[in-house]
Amino acid sequence: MAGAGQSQVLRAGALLAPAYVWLTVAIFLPLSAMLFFSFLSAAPFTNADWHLTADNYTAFFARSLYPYLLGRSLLLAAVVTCLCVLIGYPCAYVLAKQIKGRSREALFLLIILPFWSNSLVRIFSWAIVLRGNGILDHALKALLPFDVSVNLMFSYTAVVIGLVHSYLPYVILTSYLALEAIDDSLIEAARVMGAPMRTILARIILPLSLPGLASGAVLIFVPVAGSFMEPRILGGRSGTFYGTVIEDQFVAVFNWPLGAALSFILLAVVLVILGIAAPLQRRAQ
Amino acid sequence: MAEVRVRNLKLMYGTAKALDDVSLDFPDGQFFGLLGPSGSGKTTLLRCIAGFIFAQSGSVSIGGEAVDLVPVEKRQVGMMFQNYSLFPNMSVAENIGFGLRVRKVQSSEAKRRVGEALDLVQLSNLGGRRPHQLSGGQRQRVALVRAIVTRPRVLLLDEPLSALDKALRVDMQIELKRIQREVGITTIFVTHDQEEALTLSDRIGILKDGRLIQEGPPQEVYHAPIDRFTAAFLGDANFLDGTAEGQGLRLGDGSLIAWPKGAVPRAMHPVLAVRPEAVAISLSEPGASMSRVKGHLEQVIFAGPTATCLVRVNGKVFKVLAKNQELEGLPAAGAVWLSWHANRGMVLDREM
Amino acid sequence: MMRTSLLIGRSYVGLVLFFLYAPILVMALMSFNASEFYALPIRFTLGWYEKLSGNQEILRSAWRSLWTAMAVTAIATLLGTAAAIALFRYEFPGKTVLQAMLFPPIAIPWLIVGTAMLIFFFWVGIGRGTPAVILGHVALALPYVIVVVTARLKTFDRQLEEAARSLGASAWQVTRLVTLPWISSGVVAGALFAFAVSFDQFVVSYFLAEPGDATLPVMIYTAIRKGFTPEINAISTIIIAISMAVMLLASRHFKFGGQR
Repeated sequence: MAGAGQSQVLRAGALLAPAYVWLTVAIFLPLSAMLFFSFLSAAPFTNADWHLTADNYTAFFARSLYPYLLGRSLLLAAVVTCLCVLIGYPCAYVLAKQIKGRSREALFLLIILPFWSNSLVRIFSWAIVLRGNGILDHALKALLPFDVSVNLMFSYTAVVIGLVHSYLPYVILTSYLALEAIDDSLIEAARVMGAPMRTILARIILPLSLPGLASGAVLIFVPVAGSFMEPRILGGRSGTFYGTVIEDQFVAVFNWPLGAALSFILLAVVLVILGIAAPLQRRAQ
Repeated sequence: MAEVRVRNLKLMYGTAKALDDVSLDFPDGQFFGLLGPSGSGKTTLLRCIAGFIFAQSGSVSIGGEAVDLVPVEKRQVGMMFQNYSLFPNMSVAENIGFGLRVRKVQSSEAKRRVGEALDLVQLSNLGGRRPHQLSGGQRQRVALVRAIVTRPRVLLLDEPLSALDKALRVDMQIELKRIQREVGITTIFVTHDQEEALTLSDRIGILKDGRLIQEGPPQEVYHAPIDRFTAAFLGDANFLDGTAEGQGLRLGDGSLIAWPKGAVPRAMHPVLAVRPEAVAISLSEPGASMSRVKGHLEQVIFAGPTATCLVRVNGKVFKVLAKNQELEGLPAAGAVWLSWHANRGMVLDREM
Repeated sequence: MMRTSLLIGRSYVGLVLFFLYAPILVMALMSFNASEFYALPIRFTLGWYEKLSGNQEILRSAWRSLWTAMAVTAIATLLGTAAAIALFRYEFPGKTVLQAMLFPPIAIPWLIVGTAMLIFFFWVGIGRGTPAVILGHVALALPYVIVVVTARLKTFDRQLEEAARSLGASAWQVTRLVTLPWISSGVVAGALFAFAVSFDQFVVSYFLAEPGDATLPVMIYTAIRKGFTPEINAISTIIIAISMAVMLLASRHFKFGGQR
């Protein structure tokens, strides 16, 4: 009966409306506003006259600095993602397939615990380790017979180390979930048929866990491409990236329309990447 | 307690007919079994009566009152679910008292009624347990009294015994019937187990593809099925094909099988069916007063006290259920006679 | 051979854990080191914590972070749980769209979301400050609450709701007496996630907080850029201890794989 169906829709609406109105006001309207803003010549709440223009987008291409920095950020994201995958996937494999029982749960918890703790503070902790005359310096001096002096602070390497540290748990988490879901009997069946471990990894384990691995990679690549706090703290002068330029437009230069355009270009790149990765993330049936 | 009437219920899921013009009366105080294969609409009908589903047209009334616009919680029905659906976060007593609590029944009164309910199913000392600490049979009984403690007008049972193993199931059937008699509540029971339906029900209804095929007391439906589907679904049946004549059915080999006494076939092409247990098997020719056919015994399947003989008659396999001593002297295979009392033949008036 | 591979595996996991925890431990240790220049060996002191307890600016922002996170947790948990229950219980057109709408706040970099919020809030007159921060944090926390509560609801037997209704319970009674008790652990986990999202949030707060009215992470960022002091070590150590404790609590209620 129509009446009963209608009251269901009303009830569902009453429960859903607060959350979704909130999301609309605080996420979707702002994103739309930013799109609009990126086509303005000046922010409407300043005294300056404003009109619609595509100048902010042409500015991106007019100055080779912006495409260069976007490329640099994407390259940084690629490097960090690769390192996280190379370090994290074997770790997830050991956890999912070699370690059993309670110790596995405890280790897994230990690995993803930092992922939910304050990222700013964790980046800051690297500053203490990496700075000249810092802990790493002291430790290496104590261990090595010859005299060395390491000062990784304010370098590209420092930024990469900090970001890998921040995002490594993502790829371990997603790969672990995918690897754990692989039935052990599949691996046993392959071994009974005489497949060497190398073949099993390449033909069974990797393909079956690829969706999880891809999700983890996307979860790393996207935020790293837009990172600005990590390069600022650990990169110093070599820490100028696309994200820091956007930050500058909003907190230092106060050219919000340009900042909005730069943000939107980044968003477009992010969407393209999500689109490319989507088929990989779908479960291989 | 009340009578339930269902009139012209229709419900479509897309193009599939879940209920196709179903009209049915469930008499006051009786135990009514709804029977049918999966997808026949029996559970849909039960959920329409409960108020979980609303039909597109037609009406449901309980005790003479139309309830089509009444939501489940106001219908005063009790329902028992296939997996019992006991609330895991509540004790046994809290589960039973749930319906009283939400109706704001006074706590002393509620306590007394929960105690009585526990007594009814001999679980008085288990009121403080959690559902997961109970055995399957105990859970089943808790679910049953939880459904009736609020004194509903109708009790609805959705395959309540299907999760139990066979031995426990028979005990529970007896218990269920006892409690239903004691409480005297109108009960509607959905099952796909024909034996269970025959054992428990005062009346049964057979559904297929959303339509009500036949309805009546179990004996009547069993002995006088209306069509091939009911005959084969409820028990087992052998079907005889031939051409209808005044006295009986003329088979392909020219023999005539007399109609049962008093049965006047109304259909253009009536079918004659006979139950395997009504048929006798022998080497010698039976008397002419019996309905009889010649056949070739192909296989005997032993099943303890009885055996099923597969006999080829006019190219089709005929099943005979025989006691073991009837088979003495019979070869493992070869020519045999099959016979039955003419009145045991069943005329199927509706052709399907 | 199996044993050596197991040994290699375990040592490898150990190395990864070392990489993850070493800098945090170093930071914590240094917050107890008397030397301002991190000189070794460590001379133990609680001096930096004492100094911290006198730093009104940091304490005020810590307090602000804490109660902002609590407000965000309360709002996001309430709205998110209601939405999750509706998404679970009802079928209606456009449901998949609503589910897809949870994705952008999680997937889009916070830099983009934060700057977009800054633009929009300024434009409509909300401006920067604590209301803007709460508005933003709740939006970021909501998808997490909905996802976590939904995962818990997946283990819930729908028929229990039907059973309760057949026994005469109204929609609200069904929710209060049957559904909520079952998903309570999911709701608690969702609340802890929401707390973590807000309490640890830097990027979005950075754009939305008023300079004189900063949350703790924003305050720390500003301080770091001026130069490191062991006082920051001390407050950072406290923050990381709090957020790890919160997540340890959450893990008791929610296995991160989504089962349990």
